[in-house]
Amino acid sequence: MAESTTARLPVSVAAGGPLLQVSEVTVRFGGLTALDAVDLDVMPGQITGLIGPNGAGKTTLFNVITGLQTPTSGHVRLSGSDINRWPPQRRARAGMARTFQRLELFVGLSVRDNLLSAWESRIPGGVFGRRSRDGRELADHVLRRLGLQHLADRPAGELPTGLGRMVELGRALCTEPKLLLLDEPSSGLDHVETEAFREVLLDTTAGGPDSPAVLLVEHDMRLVMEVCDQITVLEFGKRIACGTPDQIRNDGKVIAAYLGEPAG
Amino acid sequence: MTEFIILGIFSGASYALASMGIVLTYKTSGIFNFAYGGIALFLAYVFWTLRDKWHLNEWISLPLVLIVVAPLLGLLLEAIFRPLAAVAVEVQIVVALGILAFFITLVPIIFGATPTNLPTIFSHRHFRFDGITILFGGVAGESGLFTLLTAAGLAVFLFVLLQRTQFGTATRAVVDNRELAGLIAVNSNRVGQATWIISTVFAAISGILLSTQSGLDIREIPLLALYSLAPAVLGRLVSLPLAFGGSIALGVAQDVLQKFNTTGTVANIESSIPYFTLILLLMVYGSRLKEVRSSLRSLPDPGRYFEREKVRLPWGVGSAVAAGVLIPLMFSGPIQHDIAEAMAYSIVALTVVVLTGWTGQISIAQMSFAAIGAFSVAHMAGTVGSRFPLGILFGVLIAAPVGVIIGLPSLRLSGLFLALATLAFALIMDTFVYSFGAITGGQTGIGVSTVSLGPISLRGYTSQFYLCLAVLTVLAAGAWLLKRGPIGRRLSMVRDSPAAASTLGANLTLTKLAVFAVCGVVASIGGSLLAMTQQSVDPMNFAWNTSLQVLLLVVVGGRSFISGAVAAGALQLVQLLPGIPPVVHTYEPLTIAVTVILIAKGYQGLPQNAFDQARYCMAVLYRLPRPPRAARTAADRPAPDGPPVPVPAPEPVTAEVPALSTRVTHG
Amino acid sequence: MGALLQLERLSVSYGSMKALTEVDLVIPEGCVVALLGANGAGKTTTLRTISGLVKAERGRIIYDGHEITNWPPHLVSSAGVVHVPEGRGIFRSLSVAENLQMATYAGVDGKGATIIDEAVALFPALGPRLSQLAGTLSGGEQQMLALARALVTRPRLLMLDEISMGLAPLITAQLFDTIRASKQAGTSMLLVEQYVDAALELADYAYVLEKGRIVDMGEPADLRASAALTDAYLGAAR
Repeated sequence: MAESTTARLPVSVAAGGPLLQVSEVTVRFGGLTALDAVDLDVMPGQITGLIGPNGAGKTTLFNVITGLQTPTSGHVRLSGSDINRWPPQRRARAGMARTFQRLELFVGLSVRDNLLSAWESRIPGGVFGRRSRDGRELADHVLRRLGLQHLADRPAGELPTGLGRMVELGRALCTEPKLLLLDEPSSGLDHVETEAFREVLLDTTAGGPDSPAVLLVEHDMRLVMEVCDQITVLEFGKRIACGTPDQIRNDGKVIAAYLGEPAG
Repeated sequence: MTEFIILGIFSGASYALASMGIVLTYKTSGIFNFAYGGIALFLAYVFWTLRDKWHLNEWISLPLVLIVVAPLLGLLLEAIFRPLAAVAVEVQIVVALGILAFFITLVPIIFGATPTNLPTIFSHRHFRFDGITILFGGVAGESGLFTLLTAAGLAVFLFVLLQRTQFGTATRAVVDNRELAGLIAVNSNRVGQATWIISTVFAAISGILLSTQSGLDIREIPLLALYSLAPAVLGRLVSLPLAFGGSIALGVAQDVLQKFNTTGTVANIESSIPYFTLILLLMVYGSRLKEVRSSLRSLPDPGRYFEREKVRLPWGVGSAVAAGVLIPLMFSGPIQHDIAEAMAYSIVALTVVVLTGWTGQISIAQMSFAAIGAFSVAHMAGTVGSRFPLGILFGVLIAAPVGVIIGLPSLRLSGLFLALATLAFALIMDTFVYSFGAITGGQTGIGVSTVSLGPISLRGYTSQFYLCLAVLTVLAAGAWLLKRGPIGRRLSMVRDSPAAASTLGANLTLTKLAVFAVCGVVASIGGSLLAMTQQSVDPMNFAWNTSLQVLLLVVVGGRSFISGAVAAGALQLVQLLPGIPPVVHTYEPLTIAVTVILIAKGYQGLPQNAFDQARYCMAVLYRLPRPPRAARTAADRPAPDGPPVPVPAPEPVTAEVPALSTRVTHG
Repeated sequence: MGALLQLERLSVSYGSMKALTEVDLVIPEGCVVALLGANGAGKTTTLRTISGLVKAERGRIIYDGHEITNWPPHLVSSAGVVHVPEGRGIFRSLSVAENLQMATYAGVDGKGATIIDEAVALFPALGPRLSQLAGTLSGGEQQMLALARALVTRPRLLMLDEISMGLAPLITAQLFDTIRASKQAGTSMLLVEQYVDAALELADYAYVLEKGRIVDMGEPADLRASAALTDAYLGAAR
């Protein structure tokens, strides 16, 4: 699978261009401008953070990328192809996978079946069990990396939120994504669970040309600062900063956006 | 022509009452009151019992029903439904359907089932509309006009109540944003209770008015609410004016069609037009009919207590073989025959398990699919028994495409609206398809002669038993195997999270259409076997309420387990077996309905609710003293002097507070 | 000076998600207390639990000496605790005047007309818009309406949740002027605000939440210097 897609990659990616390129995306709801000419690049093999205060437009941008929201103007490109008009399913088949802020597990299925179902969704006709051995092997491999083997046969609906989040991550990984979109993965997790999630995230995405690029929308700044290679900051629908965690932490505009200008 | 239009407006007026009642509670509580027709039926019977059996004249009995009985019933319904506001929509649907079944089964038990013709309420001397009486001759026009005036009057009453009173503002505030209304001291429970009371009184009025026109008939009155579904959906379940206008338009359309269809060219189109309209509206509105998805608590499944994950295929097949050996040894022929019929019923129930339990699509139409198989067998093998397999095949060939068509709404609709679409299909079968004598053989149905499978005659009870057992076992085992494979996973994806499924790249269109088609086919096979065991096919046995009954039996039996389908068949067997005391026959459906309501409410809803009510009443009694308004204005209260006292830590204040608060423990 | 509101070891969960863990918090009569922390730290949940929209799992809420834990919202608000929720704090399908008249439910013993006059005095911009549907107002006007409706009920405890969210700085400043005036008039407040500096300037005392726990508290001057606050918002390097 991976070989065939690389062969078709446009020059920009082959030459180290971004995997996901959001350029000049504007979204207006009536008179309200939710996103104003926002740029965002996700480079292959990197974890890119997307942060900003409440109401800054993170969710809107996430929806534009996943295809739930059509931008008023601007483009979203995945591996160089314009995906603006693609429905979510097609984006998924092109290598995008996501997790949800509120868990969207298949609660009636076991943990392993959640992972298997993801693999089967990716393969047209996967339902009919061609290559089912491959899927099973992949699911078990991902379960081991997530440290969830002992829960493989438990119904996903019985898991606490922290483990549920891991299962969602595993399910996304089972589609063998090129780009992994994580929507506030630490929400509802306590310190210990967030820590565990961080470990797993770094472990499953770090290193190797096979590991997916990650776009992380997150409000837990500690997590963002620790795992991200690049961070983009939004405020009032505009990109106000973009850089490494250290640059962001010391950026005057970012501090002002989060803590407010001294009033008066 | 004018005559038909005016008569149409009159009949539309009674639908208007019902659709406004349904819309009102949906708007304020988010509950779709499927039970409306059952409530109207019950209250109409209460009224006539008071009047004609207890000989209270209408000046006493009517107020008694409208001011005492209906409001109390409304309060009870509100208490049942309020705790369900935050649970999955399937629970709400099942409870409402359970209440519908409850009243439909309760009424004949209390009041008897014979339709009665009734005099008009109030003697003519009170309400005389000479012009109308002359035009249309007597009672029909007169009570029709009375209905119209009542409906219009109540519509105006509702408008004024909602737009011009403080209660109305509060109600609209609750509809707009329930949480916020609570935050500014609107007791949304009180608003909910008021609207349920109004809606139930509307149900009483429409039931009583309808009974004066068409007599007291346990079949007719619930249909009223079903007719009014289309106008209610026309207003997207929130617009009262559209519900009213749509009802009148529907009534006119019906009566005008009746005029042009006197020869019966298009069989009975006037009774089925509301359901065609309903399906059309659901398709046109489609995805715009979004309901709030609340997945906090799903429907409890009693099957869980009996069947754990570990029930394996050999175990199931083993018990089937054991049944095959033991039952013919233990029971006489007629009982074997009844068991065969119950197993055919289980096959239909199996499709409910797959559709509702596994795929999360509520279908109230599975017996209509069974009818396809049954009538195919009746036509093919009614006289030539050896064509029985051909009849089954023919049914399957029809059921598959029909299943795809019924699956189409599921691509755009879910939850309540899909349930309504399947109900509309069942009702179209009842009123339109079954009305073709060529298909159903008219009122008497079609007889089925002794059928055979090739050289094997199925005349004997035992042979029928073995056939049903074999088919059930094969289908159940097949379903079990599919459930554990990729297809089962795909069904769970549809049920648990279509959103996640599409972002994983799964195409659910094919899955949904296929599951409706396959379930249609299997139900049709079940219907063919029912035709064989019943030896005649009567459309009454495949009407919408039988589909409702299967759904409820499966909920009781365990809707996500194959054993649930078997249990549903066993519960049906109670109705078939000879020698069971009549009291069991009478009360079983009622018990099922009550059980469904209790299951859906998780056994503890009502007591919990009553407890909370008591607690809050106490809280109101001990209502916190509020300082008079003046004391809290800026002028009278000095601003805290100097820098406010910093709060050191929570501890110091803790010491004094418990002493104060012990006074006001409400729990 | 007694405590007007006190939370004692308050814990809240959404299903298996822990939203608040043993939160202790005190609002003395006449004081403004700010609740700070990143998104998802539990600020909104704290407010919703006090006003009865969310059930407390453990712990107690004591208001004016009475335990009000898990009271239904309409009783809490009748007792004088007025919560202006995050985002949509108005009835969009009701007119502006009707929105204001809803305040009479909170036990204001005035006629609708007086209430409207008072509200227009607070925010003259609402004056010409009284008969308009509230949903057609601009974002700033909607928040003015929400705040006006809260203030005309003369709350004993006013809880404001991110009232400045998504608003232009000029409008925010106007809203804060009104809030400041209300503080001068002696209204106790619990303030959730993303603009930390603005909140700290207004508050007498502040608590910092992180992941549902109180991690720091103190007077504004002390907190400004504290590392916990910056960490909670911008994440600490470990």
